[in-house]
Amino acid sequence: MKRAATWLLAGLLLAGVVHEATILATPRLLMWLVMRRLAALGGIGHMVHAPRADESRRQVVMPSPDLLYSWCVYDLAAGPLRLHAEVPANTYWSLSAYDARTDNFYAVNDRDAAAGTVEVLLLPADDKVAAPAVAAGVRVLRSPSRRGLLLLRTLVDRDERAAELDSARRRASCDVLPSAGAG
Amino acid sequence: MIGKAWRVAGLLLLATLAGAGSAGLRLKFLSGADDIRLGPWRSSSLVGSAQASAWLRAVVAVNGILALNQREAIYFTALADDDGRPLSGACRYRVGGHDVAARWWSLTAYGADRFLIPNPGHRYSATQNTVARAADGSYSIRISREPQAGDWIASGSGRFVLTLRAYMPSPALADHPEQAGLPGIVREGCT
Repeated sequence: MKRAATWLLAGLLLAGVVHEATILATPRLLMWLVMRRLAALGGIGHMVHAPRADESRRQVVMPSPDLLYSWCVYDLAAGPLRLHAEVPANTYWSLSAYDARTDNFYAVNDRDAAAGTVEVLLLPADDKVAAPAVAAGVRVLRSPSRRGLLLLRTLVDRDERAAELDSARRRASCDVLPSAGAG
Repeated sequence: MIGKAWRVAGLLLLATLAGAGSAGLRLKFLSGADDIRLGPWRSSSLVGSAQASAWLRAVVAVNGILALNQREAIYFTALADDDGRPLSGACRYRVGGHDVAARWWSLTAYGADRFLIPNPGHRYSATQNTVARAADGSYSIRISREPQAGDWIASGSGRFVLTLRAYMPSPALADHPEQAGLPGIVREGCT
């Protein structure tokens, strides 16, 4: 009787630990899956411009057919990342940054970025990588995780603008900068 | 007599399955993510919020991975019509109302798998800038399996869901999404 109770207690305790561990691991696991699917379409460390979503697009659930999505899956182990994007006039546009735990740690939209372009320098969170001197207007971000995703959304609010907006968003780029070296 | 090693292995296996399974079921069915309810529409105040705990982060990851934060967009989803009946491709619907208080909105139909519904004309959505307007500014969008004249979104033949995206919501909408003026979903008939 006592032995059965011990087994039951051990089982419940273990199930509880696994339960918590599963919840803790879920965001990383889902984000890893999403990044793997997106990286399969164009690799890591550069900008990928997906065609406008239709029924064949099945990488991430609930794609909007009215947005043009471009993304850059990054891994800061290779060095800091530089993103340059053109901000279109008179339509919704945004850049969102997501870390490996799915946290949206940064967002900027077309109304915030009045200058017509957005320049981002993305660095790891640890302070060992000092922020290099950057030109005025460059947004220096620290990614909470080494890996993550930058996602650009461009709204095609009317079909007449589709070609113009598509070529504007294709001028966005994402590059790994050579590491500045230790020191 | 079962060896002790086997019993320990069995316990480990059972406990792991029970722990992981219960976590999955809790995330899927007991997340409390649909905390905003307006008629048939559901939304989550959690998506894009400061994800303060491991639990909330997991809920958001499951319910809205890569979603925009609420300053950028609010997402409302309907699985049923105004009378609470599940949305079905066997029926015809009319979704109508006035603009939500946002910079721009779109209404999109997704299949039960949450991907766009195959249809030859690519009629996946209707948007603020494309819908026809009545004199009072209201719009009326038809949703059905078979094409219809005017503003029409294809529903496919099975279960489907509708998502209303409100981009750059007004401060009033962002602060009180539960008071948004959302369109009605009226079932007009079934075949």
